[in-house]
Amino acid sequence: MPEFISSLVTPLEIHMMLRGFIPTVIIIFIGIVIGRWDSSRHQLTLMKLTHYIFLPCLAFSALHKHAFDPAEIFRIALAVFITITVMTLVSVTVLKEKLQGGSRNILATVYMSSGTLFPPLAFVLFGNEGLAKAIYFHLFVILAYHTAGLWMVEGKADLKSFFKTPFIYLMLLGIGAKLFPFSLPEGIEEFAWLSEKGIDLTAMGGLPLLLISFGYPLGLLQRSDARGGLSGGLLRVIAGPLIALLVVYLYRKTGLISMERGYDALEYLDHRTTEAILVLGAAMPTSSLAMRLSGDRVNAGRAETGTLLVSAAVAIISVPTVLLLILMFIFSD
Amino acid sequence: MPDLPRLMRLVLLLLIFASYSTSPVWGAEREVKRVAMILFRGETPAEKGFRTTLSSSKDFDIKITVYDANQDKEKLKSIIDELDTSQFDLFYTFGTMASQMTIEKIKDKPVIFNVVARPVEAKLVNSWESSGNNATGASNLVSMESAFRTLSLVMNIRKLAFIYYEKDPAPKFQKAEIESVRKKFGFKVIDVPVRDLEAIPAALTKIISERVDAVMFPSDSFIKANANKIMTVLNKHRIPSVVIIPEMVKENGALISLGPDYQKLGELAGISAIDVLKGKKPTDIPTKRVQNLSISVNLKTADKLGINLPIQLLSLSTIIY
Repeated sequence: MPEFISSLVTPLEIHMMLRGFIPTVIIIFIGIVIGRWDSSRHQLTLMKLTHYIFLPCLAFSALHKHAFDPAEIFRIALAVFITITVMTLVSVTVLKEKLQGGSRNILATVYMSSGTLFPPLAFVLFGNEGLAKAIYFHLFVILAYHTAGLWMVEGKADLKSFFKTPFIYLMLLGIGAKLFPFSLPEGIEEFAWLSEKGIDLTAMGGLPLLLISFGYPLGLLQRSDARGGLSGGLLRVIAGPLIALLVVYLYRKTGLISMERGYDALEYLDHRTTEAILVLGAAMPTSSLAMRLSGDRVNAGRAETGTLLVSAAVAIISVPTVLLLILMFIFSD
Repeated sequence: MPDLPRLMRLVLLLLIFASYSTSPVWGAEREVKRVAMILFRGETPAEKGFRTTLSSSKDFDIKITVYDANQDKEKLKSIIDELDTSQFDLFYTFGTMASQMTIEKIKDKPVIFNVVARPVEAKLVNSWESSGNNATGASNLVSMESAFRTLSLVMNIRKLAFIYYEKDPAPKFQKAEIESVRKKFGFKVIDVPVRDLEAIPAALTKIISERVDAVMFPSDSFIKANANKIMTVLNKHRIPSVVIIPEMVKENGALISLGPDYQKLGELAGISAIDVLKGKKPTDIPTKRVQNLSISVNLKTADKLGINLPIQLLSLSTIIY
């Protein structure tokens, strides 16, 4: 290992990072294999399960154990909006698209897989704290998608479908449970804990399913699909994290995120975890759920399927590289 | 009249000689002081830290005599009863029980206690600032709020078993600490007192049947001595163990320790001991505490239990693997 890297990150940290990343890749490959061989085309069932059950359970499970901190939510929201705005401007320029009335490839380039690939990865790498922050990240990504994103390609925002997203309500329930704890009689309390365990188990069981959901449509793509998406795919996984790193740098410079160590090491660690989530979230490949099945092919244009394929393929290298940068420059002393 | 260079050389020689003769380390013999170390369960990293600090003293050549009760309360009592206090300048004690017994018996010599979580409640001192007697020392009290916040990074706890030796006074204070944060973190404490060796299997049966999320081990010498037997069963049933004594992560396979760094505690006790030997009254030296938690995690145990350790925790922890 080069001295420059070994001075900032230990082999154990790299080992732990790979222990989280490699199983994630393996499960995605299982999803790809299922997508390739599933003749009954179960993608819609899989999507419904993740959309209506697993992602909402995950949001509740993560947030009812996570301290509610409006400042943290503000930091994540602002970072997501800055990253998406800058990414949109860069993509419009590089892909020579129009800001309004352009193709859906602009969405595939700007918007990342914040709801399928990101939460499981955030959980295996950063535990429940990382997962809770990833849930907030996803909330603001889908808000931006349903407003600015749809305005760009369809000419109008669609807040109605944003509010139809069930995960938002389970998220609010999780925050409410954390903010207003209540005592129950002994027998009922035991039952409440068991119910909570049930939701937690469903949420944890949903993590591999989310990864399979991400891999499934990739199994339907051909190598030739990559041609139209080289620029978009590379922009997605390379420009995304670079912009997020810049946002983190600006946060630190302006004092929006504290670098003070103080006596409370955990508060310092919490801020660094937020930074890591912002950068890792921005490094995710294109959301494959946008590529709905239509017969034997994905229901998307050539350019966006290419962007999805290129971004997913490059992410196998770019995501561990971003994680290494996170270990070296965010968590290193 | 001697020429100037020769005179300068002479002055220089005289200066070197003068500085040599006034140096406490090399010029004069360091004053010999005798310290009795009264231990219940042998030397730990706390004693290593204490020894290191004392041996670095420029003023004293400190001779330490160790009295180890080998986890036998009766033996501890007879050690303290038979001690010839006139032979020693200072007494060092480890743990609440040994400290209480020593301070009760020895009133005319300074006593430096170490690893006593609640010295005021244990009636070793009047207050944290001033003991009002011949004792001072270092406490292993850590913020339970910090401990449980750290724990929440690793697991979700709704039922926590607290296993302790009921004849030791220290764990009761630690249990009170845990009870004070119980509501905030939303967990229930299952009390598991152990009377003697024979009571351990029944205690384990209770822990398993209660379907607890984790078991907390206080800094309790009896439980530490039997930790291997207890943790083998807990790990087999995939029940995580949370400990206060850091060595238990490496030696007994506990999942995580959320206590102070014992070596640092020993160093703090050592600093107080040197101050006392220099003439400061123990009552004028506040009881010391370490500021931050020392986190150790056992990667092998985490794998066995199927627990996912977040990578951000690594930057704060000692990893045993």
